[in-house]
Amino acid sequence: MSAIAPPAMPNRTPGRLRTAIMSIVGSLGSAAICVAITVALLATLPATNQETERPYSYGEKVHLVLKTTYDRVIRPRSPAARAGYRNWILTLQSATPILLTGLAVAAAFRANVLNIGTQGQYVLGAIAAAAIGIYIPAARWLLIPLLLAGAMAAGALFAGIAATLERWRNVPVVLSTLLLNFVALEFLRYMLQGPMRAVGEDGRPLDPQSTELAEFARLPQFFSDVPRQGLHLGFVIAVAAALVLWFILRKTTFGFRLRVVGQNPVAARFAGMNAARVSFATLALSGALAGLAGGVQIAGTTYVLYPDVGTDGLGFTGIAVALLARLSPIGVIFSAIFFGLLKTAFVALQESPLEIHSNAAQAVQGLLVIAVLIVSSPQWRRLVGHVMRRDRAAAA
Amino acid sequence: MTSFLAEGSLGFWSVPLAMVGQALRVSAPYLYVSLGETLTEKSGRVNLGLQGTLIMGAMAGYAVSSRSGSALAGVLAAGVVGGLLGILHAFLCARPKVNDIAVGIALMIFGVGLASFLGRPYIKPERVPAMSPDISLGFWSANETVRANLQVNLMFVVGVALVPLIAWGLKNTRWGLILRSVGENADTARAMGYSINGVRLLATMAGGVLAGLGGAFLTLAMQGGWKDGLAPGTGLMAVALVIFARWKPLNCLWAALLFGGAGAIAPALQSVGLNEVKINLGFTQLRWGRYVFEMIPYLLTLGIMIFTSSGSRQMAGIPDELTRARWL
Repeated sequence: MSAIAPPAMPNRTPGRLRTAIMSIVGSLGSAAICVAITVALLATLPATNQETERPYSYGEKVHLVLKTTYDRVIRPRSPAARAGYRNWILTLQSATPILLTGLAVAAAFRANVLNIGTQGQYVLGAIAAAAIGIYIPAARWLLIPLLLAGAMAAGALFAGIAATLERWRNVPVVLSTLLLNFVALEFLRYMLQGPMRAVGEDGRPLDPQSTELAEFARLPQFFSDVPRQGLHLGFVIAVAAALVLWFILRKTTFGFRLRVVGQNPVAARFAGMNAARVSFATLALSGALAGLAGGVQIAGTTYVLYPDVGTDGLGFTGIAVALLARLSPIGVIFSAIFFGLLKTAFVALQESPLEIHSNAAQAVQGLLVIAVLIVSSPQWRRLVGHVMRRDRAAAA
Repeated sequence: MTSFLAEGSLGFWSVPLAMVGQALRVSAPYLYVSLGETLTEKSGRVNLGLQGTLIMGAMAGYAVSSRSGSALAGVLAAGVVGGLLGILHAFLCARPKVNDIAVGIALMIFGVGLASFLGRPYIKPERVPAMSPDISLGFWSANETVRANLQVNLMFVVGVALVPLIAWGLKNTRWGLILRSVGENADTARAMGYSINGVRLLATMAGGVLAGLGGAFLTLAMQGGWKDGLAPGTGLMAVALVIFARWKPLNCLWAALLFGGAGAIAPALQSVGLNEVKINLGFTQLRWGRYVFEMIPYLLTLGIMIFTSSGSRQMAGIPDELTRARWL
């Protein structure tokens, strides 16, 4: 007996699995577009084969780029050795701070709070972590949580300045957080020039950077005993933070309010939500995450506070990471690792015979985000969805 | 304390003079970018990517003029590159559900990265003389320092001349009216038969051209060469100055001059021998040096913003479409 077919449901909202698949397809598609553009761009570089003394052909260049990337980034160099997965450790290490700053941006942008001051909050977190790690004598089990908590508090307080100014005087967050980035940078330079500057044994000041963190103030690391060579606890913390943020956004009242305020402030007001308070808390949360990124970077990777922390742009890269993940906390894990891969790849390419300078990585990051924006726009998704429906119909 | 005496005995007056001189020397990029951004934002869209446009303009301007030997060609090239980036921004934003802030940030990262990638062959170790002509505003003074401080570049003069032109054009011309109506209420403008995306495309392109010209000023007039990390944050600051200037071209000029001039406080104080301020707190002594002075422009901007804003009122002059996009 043929059952009555249920009426076709127009505009059925796609299920969660479907959304996830679309998101992955979209990301992979845009990644492919960008890789293609990049390879094409790179292939135009002038480079000569040292052995044959002839310029590389186009095909040879593309081959060289792909081969270098595979050998130095994807494939472990010697699986037998204990440090065989060094490439992957490096990748995850560079992914750690941008994962956290990416989460900071994702949380804020979800609530339509334009925190573009993650760089400043990251710097403040780094300063606080270094100060606690250097000057507070405490046992390791106490010092490391204290250090990370201090970094989060510093980031949250610094973002709190912007949040307060918005509530008190309606100063746009986008403006105040931007200005505070520069203030944080100068504050870092001041600290390294004055109070926190390392002093040599003869009492004379050394280079403008802090003393190195003692061993017990550093984050524990895995896979290697050599300092800075292993995967430090920060990566685990960052992934955990992503899961926590996902939980907050999905499963808690605060997260619900945050999303409603971001998506429809009018509805939020009618539902009796205090939008100003939600924005305030979101900005503090975002600042805490960015501050944590700074703390993790100091205690896990650099072990010293130095001027480059202010200009490395890791806080700012968080914006690109978050946009690439379309503001999804779980997506941020993957986009941060992808950015880490890019970094490792471009370091390898710089050392390859093509001598591609690693600053090309930044152009590729930008391209990636642009591609994701195009691919994730409804027009594209409709197109892909149409193709999928047609395939299903053909299969049936 | 001997340095300023040797400079022609201007005493402490050398500080404000240096500020004026600095304001005239460095404010042009801020001016061009903020004028461009004003045009774009008046049409109801935000282009946060002008930092990338500025840097691309700087690189392209220098590359073209050093290849062709003509400063004018470089300036034109910078404008064209800026315009193309503006078109790209507008094109991306015209897709449905694409956030202009996100596009702007992507384009900023892209532009800065691409400029440093493509510009590598043009990094010259030696200082190249400025290629754009200077005009002396200090002809009335016999004092060398005054004259040296009041040299301004032709491009700055052009930028200043653009201010009343743009202000007048926005207020009194048909094009200005269309632009403003699209920025104030897109639905009404659409009902009147104007293409929203078309108008915004033109406005963003014009903004990009201006930002590109500002970039050309950086390499051709100010720095005399291209290098990486040439002006970190200049374009972003200039975009922020548009809020500060309340979307008025004339205010953009004041904001650019103020911000440029405030940047001279730290070096000027240092040149008169004031290297640090000691503040005794009893238990400890704070020694505020150069880096605290360097914060002054940003804190000053923030302070004026706090002072002129109100907790209960919406900001004056903001294009309504920006409020509707809940950008501010």
